[in-house]
Amino acid sequence: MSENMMNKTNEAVPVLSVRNLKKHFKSGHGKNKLVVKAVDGVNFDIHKGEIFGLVGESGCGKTTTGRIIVKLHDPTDGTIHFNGEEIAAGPDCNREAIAELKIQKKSASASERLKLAKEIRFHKDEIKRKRKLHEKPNYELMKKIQMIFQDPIASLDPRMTVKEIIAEGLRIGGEKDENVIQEAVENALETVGLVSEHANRYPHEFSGGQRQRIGIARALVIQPEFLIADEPISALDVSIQAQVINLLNDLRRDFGITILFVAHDLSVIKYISDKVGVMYFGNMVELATADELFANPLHPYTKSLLSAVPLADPHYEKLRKRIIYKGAVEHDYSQQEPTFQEITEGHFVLANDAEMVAYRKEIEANANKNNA
Amino acid sequence: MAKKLIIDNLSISFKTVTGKVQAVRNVSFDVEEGETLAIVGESGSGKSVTTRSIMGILAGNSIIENGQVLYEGEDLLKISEEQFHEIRGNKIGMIYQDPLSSLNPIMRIGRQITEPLMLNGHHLKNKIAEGCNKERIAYVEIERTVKILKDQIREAKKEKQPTAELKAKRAELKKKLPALKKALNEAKKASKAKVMAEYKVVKANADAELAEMKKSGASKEELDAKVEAIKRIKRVTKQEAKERALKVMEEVGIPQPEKRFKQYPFQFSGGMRQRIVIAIVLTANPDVLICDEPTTALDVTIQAQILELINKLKKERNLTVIFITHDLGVVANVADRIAVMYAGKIQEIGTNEELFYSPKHPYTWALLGSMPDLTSKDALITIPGTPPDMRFPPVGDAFALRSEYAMQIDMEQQPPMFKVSDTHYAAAWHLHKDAEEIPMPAVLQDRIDRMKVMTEELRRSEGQL
Repeated sequence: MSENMMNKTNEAVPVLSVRNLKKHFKSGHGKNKLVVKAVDGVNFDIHKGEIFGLVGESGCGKTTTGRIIVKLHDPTDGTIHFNGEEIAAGPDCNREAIAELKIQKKSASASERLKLAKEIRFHKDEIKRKRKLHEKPNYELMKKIQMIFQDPIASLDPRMTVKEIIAEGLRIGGEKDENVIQEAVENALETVGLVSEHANRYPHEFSGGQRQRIGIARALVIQPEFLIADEPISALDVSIQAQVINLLNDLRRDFGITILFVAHDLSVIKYISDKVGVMYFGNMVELATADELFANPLHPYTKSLLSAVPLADPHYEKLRKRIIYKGAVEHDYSQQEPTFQEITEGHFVLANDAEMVAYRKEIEANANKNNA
Repeated sequence: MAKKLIIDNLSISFKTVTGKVQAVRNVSFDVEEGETLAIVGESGSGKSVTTRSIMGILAGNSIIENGQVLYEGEDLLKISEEQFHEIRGNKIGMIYQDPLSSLNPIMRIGRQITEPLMLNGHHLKNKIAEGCNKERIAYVEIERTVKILKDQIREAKKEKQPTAELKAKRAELKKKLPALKKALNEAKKASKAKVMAEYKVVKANADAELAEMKKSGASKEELDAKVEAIKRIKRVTKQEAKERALKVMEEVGIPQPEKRFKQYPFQFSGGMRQRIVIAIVLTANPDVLICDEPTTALDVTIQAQILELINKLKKERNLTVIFITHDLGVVANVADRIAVMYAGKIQEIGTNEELFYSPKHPYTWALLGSMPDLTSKDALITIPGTPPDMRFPPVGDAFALRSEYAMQIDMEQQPPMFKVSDTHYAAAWHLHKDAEEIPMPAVLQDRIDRMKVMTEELRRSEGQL
């Protein structure tokens, strides 16, 4: 399926391509052992200049996905390619393969054993190689991928001035010339709509919206190609939310930055994104362009999310019925496990064959209705 | 319908090192019984301060400059702390913004819900207090006035003003105190004697019944139930509190309340925690419920659930709700009337429909226009600048500095509340009869039209079903 996806979208290499990404958090031993599958097999591509919206309820793994991409977490399995180059990979598939090969080896003949041993060695080398990817911080990559954090109050060091906060990334990147730093900081401040006088103040002197702008300036000063915005507006007032959304839109237009926009508010996602991925319990359940997703939502979870968005119209609100998604109960996967497959061009949904048929009918019915 | 709560010309300031912050300036509104009023505004607009004054939980450095908060005809700003105990929680309940920090992390949920029941559950004590309530209030009020006079005398001395009159007044009041105290003590004694006598009779009867049941050989369960019933005459027992808590937990939609009763807050999700907070408030059976941004920390689906719950409870218990939020989208489904606050003043107040379909104030336009909706791709209306520093509130219209519609008069004079209809008022100079009318921004009008079409579609599809 992954190859299919690669071919369908533009010939150009995507800026970011995530394949079968998994992150399992483990805690406890023996009887108390607990594995939380925060992200469990996520696939998506992001192309240059695109804003990709990632949406889902709290705890569905969208923030973890963002954090894996900036390498704050190491993935359990799957790969992440940035500009065609592998930046992170999880060793779990190799471990599983080794375990399986070892079982085969026990009952195999002598000649086959040699072959199996070779394969085992290959997987062991793979694990070593993947581990090496995470051993040292990759400064080159840091300059290309930056992140804006959710909480503008907690993510700024209260003891550092705004200038120090913004310049920190540059200094880590090896910049030593004070003049260059000063100029870069001033530019970054200007881009986000603050003035250079703000540079010598401390974070507590700013309002919530301004602090979020400082967070954005800190990410922008390195001139990244790729920006991860992890719920940048959920802690802000409505009027300030609009400022930040417009700012991100301007950045995309003026600098061609690619953005992964994580949020739980569908109206914001719909407004800002080109493509939207809907996540539910560590899985991506639906992926499509924003217009397509909102015109033809297929997965019941997407529908329930859409029906929960409050709209500024009392009459509409009084009429509307909320769709409630009950999780796994709604699907019958006893016959066949669901896979993430394409239903119309660019529109992917997590479903098995029986559901695909139903979804196709739904799309047709929708199209007929619109034509009529 | 009766007016449950009237806020009349309320002004509140806070004393700080750098000067007086005028958080609320001449706010007036009323809430009718069974109605939901939403107060919408940015952070720092004074919406929380207003509702905190209703609860009587303002910070220590607050000064109430003038105004009244009338709850069923009683001014809540004038009554003493002792009297407030009767109202706070029992009559007016409040749900706070952050469900995580408003629960005790090391106390089981069950105990947190039953705590208010147990603490206020001593029936005999309550009855005794009730019996001498009049005398107590008379005494406490004079005592408080004396204290206030003392402060006033000190202030006057500082400013070198004559204090003789105040002193005379204080001396006179002070003379009254001993007599009142005596009266209070006597009333207490009388009340206690009366209540205990009643209790003794009831208890004796119950005991006799119990003895009879024992003789006639009733089963153990029956006897236990009787013993429990006897205990309940005196106070709310643990068992009774638990029964009531479980009932409320069921009412707010917590599955398996028996199991959940024994769990700790960290074992609950955000939405469930908010339900617990609502359950705690509901145990005291208030008739006014103040919700201070109850859904801000929650995500969309959970938010919708909590809003539905509040609506349901409001209908079932005929609650009067004051709903505070910064998100106009949230209130469309919940509110009957909406007040938009900015810089400590109400800028526009009207019914739900009036505010969403024909808003008049530029600030309301900006608030509505800054919300992305599911259909548009136009640039959002942003509000440039920041809210004014309330230590130095602007002379004229507070929003003029950030508004593109500001006129000369906006800078010089505060607009009064202009009447748009019987229920709709807005403080904007362009509503003055001599002023040129400013139309609503086109973007907003577009959106309202678009929403109308969507509503029609929805109505039609409902009809088909």
